[in-house]
Amino acid sequence: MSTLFKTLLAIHVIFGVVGVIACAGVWMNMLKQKLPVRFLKWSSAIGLVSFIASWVIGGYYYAIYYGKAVKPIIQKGQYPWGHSVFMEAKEHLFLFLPFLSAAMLVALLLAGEHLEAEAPLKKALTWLVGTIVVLGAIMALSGIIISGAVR
Amino acid sequence: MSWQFLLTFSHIIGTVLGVGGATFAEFFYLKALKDGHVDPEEGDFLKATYRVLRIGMALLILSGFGFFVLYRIGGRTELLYDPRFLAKLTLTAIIFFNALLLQIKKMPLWLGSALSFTSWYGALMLGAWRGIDASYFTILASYAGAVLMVAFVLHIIRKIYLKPIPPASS
Amino acid sequence: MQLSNIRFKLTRAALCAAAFSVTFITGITVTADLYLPLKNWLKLMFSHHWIGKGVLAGVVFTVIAIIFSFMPTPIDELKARTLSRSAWKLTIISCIGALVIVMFFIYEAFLKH
Repeated sequence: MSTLFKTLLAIHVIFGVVGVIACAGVWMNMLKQKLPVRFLKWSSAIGLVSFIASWVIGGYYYAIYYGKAVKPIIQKGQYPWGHSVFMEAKEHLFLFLPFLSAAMLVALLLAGEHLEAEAPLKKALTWLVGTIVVLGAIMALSGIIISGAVR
Repeated sequence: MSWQFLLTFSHIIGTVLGVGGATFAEFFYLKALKDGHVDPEEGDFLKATYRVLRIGMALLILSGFGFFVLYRIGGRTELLYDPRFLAKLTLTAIIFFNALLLQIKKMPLWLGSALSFTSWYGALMLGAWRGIDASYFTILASYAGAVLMVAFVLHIIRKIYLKPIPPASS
Repeated sequence: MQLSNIRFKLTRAALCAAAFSVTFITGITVTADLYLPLKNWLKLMFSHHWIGKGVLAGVVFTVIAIIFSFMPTPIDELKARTLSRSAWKLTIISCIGALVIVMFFIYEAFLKH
């Protein structure tokens, strides 16, 4: 693997994990009675920017390098399901995250100040950000499984 | 300074903050309950401890994924299926979801504190015990046993420490 | 809920557009794997089928967001309920979409042949 692709892979993982941590921060704080709205907005914005960065960088690595150099190794190796299940599901589920976190950010930016008074809306958005975190964590764990299958 | 050193250093710092935070959280909570209520000063101490715990967790996760990248680009991918690595990941997930459930009061306190305490010490032990030769399920079964044991010990400590002081006879 | 009309419209538009995009991604993922001419068309148009799906999902998001931002606003009392319903729909659609994609690839890998 060239230095460029090693760097891209590292940056993709770092942005992905930062995105999940930022959204996890939103999730934990959405469960509080008194909402730190400013923190929620910033953390949610960091989540969105990180997911988009991870998406673009990971996408470049995936489209240019993975298919030619990594996929054949996994398919011929001991764990072909590393690609056929985990990578296939990951690459498509990853497409969800920027849209979900964009919707979350817009909701917090425009209606964040009203959430404390509107319990049902707060609850619905808490579940939405929880879904983002769980999907993000599944992406991260799938990344480990896929990488472990490259041998 | 190599990446390996930087990651190991951050990983150790994260674990130290987590283990220390979990210990102090239990200690402060016990101390706060001695007089039956958590006063503002004690509340501040607890908040600061929880903040340290969260920083520790973020450092642990970031450095853990740093190791993942290092193994992947260094071609040492077999380490990613190492039971010790997978068990540490599981413990990290348990720490996160336990904190979340404690926050919404859906986790009984006796189990929540035992889970937090055992998970952090378990992560420390897995990190330190390099030559461990056990399967993923053996590690998790031992962990489950340890959680119950810690819950029992914490219960005894609370019972002894929080025993009401008999009124002084005049 | 004392949310201004413009803020309400934009929030609803983002939540609904995300729900449509997630549905679109789920649909095109399964369809392109079952109907290869679609996958080939995506490759031809966007150099890689995955890039095509991402770009088209972005287009769906933008178009639906524009449409929803022109839709009428309910009375103040119904604004919070409308937004929370949209957020719930988005969450449920995302969970179902994720489940469909995972099950589909498990089926493709282990059960198809």
